[in-house]
Amino acid sequence: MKYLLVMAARSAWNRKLTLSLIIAAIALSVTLLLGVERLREQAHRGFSHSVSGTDLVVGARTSPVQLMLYAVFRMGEATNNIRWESYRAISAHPMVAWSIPVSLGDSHHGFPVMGTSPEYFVHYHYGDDQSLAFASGKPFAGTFDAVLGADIAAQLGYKIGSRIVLNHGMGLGGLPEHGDKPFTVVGILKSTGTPVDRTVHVGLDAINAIHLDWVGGAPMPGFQIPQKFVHKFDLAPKEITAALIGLKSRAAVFRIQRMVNEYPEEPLLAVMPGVALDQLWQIVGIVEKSMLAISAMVAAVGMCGLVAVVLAGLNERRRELAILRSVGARPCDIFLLLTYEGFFVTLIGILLGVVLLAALTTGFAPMLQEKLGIAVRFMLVSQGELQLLGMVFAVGLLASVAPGYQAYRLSLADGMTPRL
Amino acid sequence: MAPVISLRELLFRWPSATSPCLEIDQLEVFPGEQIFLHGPSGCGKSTLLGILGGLHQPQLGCVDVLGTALYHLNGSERDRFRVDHIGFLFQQFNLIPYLSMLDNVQLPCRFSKLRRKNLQVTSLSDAQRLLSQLDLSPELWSRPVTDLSVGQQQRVAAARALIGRPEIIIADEPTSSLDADRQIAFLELLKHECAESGSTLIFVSHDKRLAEGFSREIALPSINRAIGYEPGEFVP
Repeated sequence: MKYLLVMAARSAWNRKLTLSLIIAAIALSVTLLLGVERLREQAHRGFSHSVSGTDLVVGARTSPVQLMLYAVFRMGEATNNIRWESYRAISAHPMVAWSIPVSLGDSHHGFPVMGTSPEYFVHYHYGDDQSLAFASGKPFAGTFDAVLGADIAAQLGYKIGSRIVLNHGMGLGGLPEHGDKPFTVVGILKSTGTPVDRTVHVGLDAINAIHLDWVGGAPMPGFQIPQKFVHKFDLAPKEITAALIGLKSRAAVFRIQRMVNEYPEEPLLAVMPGVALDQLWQIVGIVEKSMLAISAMVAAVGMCGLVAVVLAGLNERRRELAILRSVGARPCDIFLLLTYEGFFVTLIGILLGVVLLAALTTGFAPMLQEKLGIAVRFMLVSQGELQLLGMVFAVGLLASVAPGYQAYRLSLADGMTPRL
Repeated sequence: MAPVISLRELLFRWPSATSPCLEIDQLEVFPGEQIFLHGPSGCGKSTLLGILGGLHQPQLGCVDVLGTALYHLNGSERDRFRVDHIGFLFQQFNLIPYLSMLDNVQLPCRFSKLRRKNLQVTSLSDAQRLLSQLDLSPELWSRPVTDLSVGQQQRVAAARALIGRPEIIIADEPTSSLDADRQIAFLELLKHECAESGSTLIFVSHDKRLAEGFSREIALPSINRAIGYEPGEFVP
C-alpha cells in the first residue's frame, strides 16, 4: 500500500536522529566489510600474480617458501648461492626454453638491486601473462646501465640519465657504498603492482664489476680498480642467487624439477611458483581470514543495533500503532510499516557505505600505493562484493522483520488500548 | 427500526483469566441514539468497546453491528468493517505525532474505501470543514499536532472519527484529560456533529456528571452480570 510507505517515511523522519545513527552504523560496517574484502582481494591478486609464465624457480637448497621470498619478492636474503656452471648446465637442457639468472645482495636506498640478463625484459611475465613494458628508455646495454622499477623512479624522482650509486648489502642506512662506480639510469619500467616496481635492474656483469676490488663485504684497503678499467677483467659471474626457468613444454616440469633437485654437483632446489605461492599465501591467509571475520562481526553488530533500536522503540510506538489500528490499519499493515523502515534503513546504510568506500579509496589510493604497494582501483562494487552486500541486505531485512513481527503481535494483543 | 448494535447472551473472558469479564444478556442501540455508558474503572467498558470494534471475540453470544454478525467475519474483514463503520475517539494521545493535523483527520479515508465514498467533497475539504466546525481555525492547521493543547488535539481526533460519516462513533473517555468547562464544550460539539452526520454515538465515561443531554444512559455494572453488582447498588 502506497500510503504506508509515506507513513513509514514520515514516522522515520520523526525519529531521524536514532535512525541516522543506525544508518551510520550500517554504512560504516559495510565500508569496513567491503574495504577489508577489497584489500584482501588486491593483496591476493598482487601476490599470486607477481610472477607468471615461469615454470620453475631454481635456487640453493632451502625451503620452497623461502626461495620464493627472496627470488621473487626480494625479501630476506639467500642462504646460499648457486654456481654459474650449474646454472649453465640447467639452462642448456633441451627442454628449457629460456632462463633468467637472478643475482641479489646489493641495494639502493633500501630498494633491492637485481643483477640479471637482458632476457629478463623479454621472458619475465606477471599478472595475466603480461610482459614488462618501458615507461621510458630501454633495457640496459652497457655494464653501468640501470633500469628502474616504477616505484623507485617515482619515489626518488629519477629520470633517464640520472646517476645512482649502489650500496653493498640489503637494508637502509649505514651500508658501505659502491661510490666509485655510479650507474646511469637508461630505462624506467611501467608500474606492475609487483616487486618489480621496487627493483633496480642491472646486468650480471655489473654486479661483478662493482665487487672486483671488494673482499669479504668491504673494499680492499689500498686497492681500487677505476670504473673505466673494469672491462680489462673477466666479468663473467661465478655465482648467482637464483634462476627463473621457462620450459618448452609444461609437461616436462616434474622431470626437470627432479633433475634439478637431484643435481649431483651441488644441492639445488626447484619449485613451481604456483605451488609455492599457494603455500606462502596460506601463511599470510590466516591474517586475511581473521580480518574478514572481524569485519563480518562488525556488520553483525551493526545489524544487531538496528534490531535493538527498533525493538526498544517499539514500546514507545505501541500507542501510535494502536491509533493506526483504530483507524483501520490491519496487523499486516503494521508489520509492513515496520518492515519498510528496516528495508530502507538497511538499503540507505548499504548505499552510503559503498559511496563512502568509493570516496575513501579514491582519496587514499595514492597513499596506499605509495606506502603499502597495494594498487586499489576505483570501482563501485564487483560481482563478489554484490553477493556480500546481498548477504548484508538479507540479514538487515531479517533483522527488520523481527521487530515487524513483534509489532504485529503487539498490535493484535493491544487492539486499540495498549496495556503499557 | 433495526438496532445498530445488538448484543445477546454475551460472555467474554480474557484468555488468561479464570472468571469472565463481561456477561451481558441483552443490549440494543438504535440509529441516531446518543448513549452515555458509564461505570467505574475495571468494569469492562474498554473490553466492551473492543468487542464492538471486533478486536476481541466473545466466547459465547451474538454481536450484531449494523445487521452484520461479527462472528462470521475473519480478522481482516473485521478490520475493514471497523474502519468502514466505526469512528473511534480515545482518552488521550489520539493523534499520530508525525502527521499534520489534516493528515491525521484524513487517516480513515486512507484505509477505507467506504469512508472515502461517503465524503461530501474530497477528504481534504471534508477534513477542513470538520476542523472548522470543531472550532479549529485554518491558521492552526499547519502546526505540528504535538504543539496543540489537549483540547485541540481531542477536537482533531473527533474530526477524524467523524470524517466519511461512519454509522457509529465510539468515544472512550475522550474528555477525562480536559478541565470541566472544556469538557462540556467538547461534548456539545461532539453531540452536535454526530447529530449532523446522523451517526450513533456511544460515549463512555466514569464521570456521571457528563450524562446530561444524552438520549440514554447505561450503567455497565447494571447489565454486566460478571461483576455481580445489583442494579442501583452502583454508586459513581
